[in-house]
Amino acid sequence: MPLIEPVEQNKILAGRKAVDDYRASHSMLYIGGYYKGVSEDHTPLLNVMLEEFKKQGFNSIQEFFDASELLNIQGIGFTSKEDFGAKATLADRGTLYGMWQ
Amino acid sequence: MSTETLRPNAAGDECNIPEEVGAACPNHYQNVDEAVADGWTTRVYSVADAYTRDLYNIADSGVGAGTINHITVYVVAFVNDTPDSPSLKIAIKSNSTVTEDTERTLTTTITTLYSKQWTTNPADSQAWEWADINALQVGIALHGKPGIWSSHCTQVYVEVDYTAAAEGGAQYIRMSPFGINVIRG
Repeated sequence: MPLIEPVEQNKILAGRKAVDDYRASHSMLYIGGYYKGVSEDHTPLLNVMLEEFKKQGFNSIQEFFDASELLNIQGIGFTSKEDFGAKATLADRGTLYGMWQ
Repeated sequence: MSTETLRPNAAGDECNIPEEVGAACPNHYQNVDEAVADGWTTRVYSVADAYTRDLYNIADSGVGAGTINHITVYVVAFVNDTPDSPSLKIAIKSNSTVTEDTERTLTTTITTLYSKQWTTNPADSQAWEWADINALQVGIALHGKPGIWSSHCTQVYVEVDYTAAAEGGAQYIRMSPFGINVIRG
C-alpha cells in the first residue's frame, strides 16, 4: 500500500479536527446535566462532522477512521494495516494505542 | 402494536468498562446515548482480557399503559481488529437481578446493530410491567485481548413493544333507542 501523500494527510488532519470539535460540543451538551432531548441534540453536531468529512473526501465515519488509523500505522513505520498485523511488536501496538484515535 | 424507544439517561449500578472516549465513569452513559450512532467518536471500550460490564439507567416510559409484549435491547458495537473470540454480552438489570445474553462475536464494521429480546422479565419470569421498565437498567459487557484487539460500544437503547390499552380488549356493541354504541372492554 502506498504511503499517504501530504495532501491526503492534510485531509485526515482536517477530519481529526472535525472529530475533536464534535467531541468538545458533545461534552458541552451535558454541562447542565441530562435533559430530555439530549440524545437527539447530538444529531446536528454529528451532521457538522459528517459534512466536514465529505468536504475532505470521506463518505462515512468508518472511511475516515480507517484512513486516520492508516496514517498512524504509517507514522510508526508500517506500510499497511496488514503489515502492522503481521509484524508489529507489543511495543508498536502500545505506540499505536497512544496515538490519536 | 407500538414501540417506545428509551435511551440511557443516567449512570446505572455498574461502570466497570475500563476505557472510554468521552465522559468518564460514572457517566459512561453519555457515550452511548446518542440517537444516531457516532461510531468511533464517543464510545466505551475494553482491551482487558476478561469481561467488564457497564449498566445504564434509562428514561422513564412516556406511555406507561397497555400490555407490554416484549422488550429488545439494541447495541452498536465493533472491534478494531479481527478478534479470536466473542467479546460482547448484552445485559439488563431488573429488580436486583442482572441477566446477560449469550456472547457475540464482533466485527470491524462500526454500524452493526446487535439485539436481544426479552419476552418476560427474567427477574421474576412474569410479563413485563411498566414499573419494571421504569426501574430497568440496560448495559453491556465487553472484553478484548491486551495489545492485540479491543471491543467498542457506541450506542445502547431499548425498545418496548406494547399494545396500547385501546388496541386490545374486547368490543361490545350496545343497541339503544338512541343508536348503536361500540364499547371497548
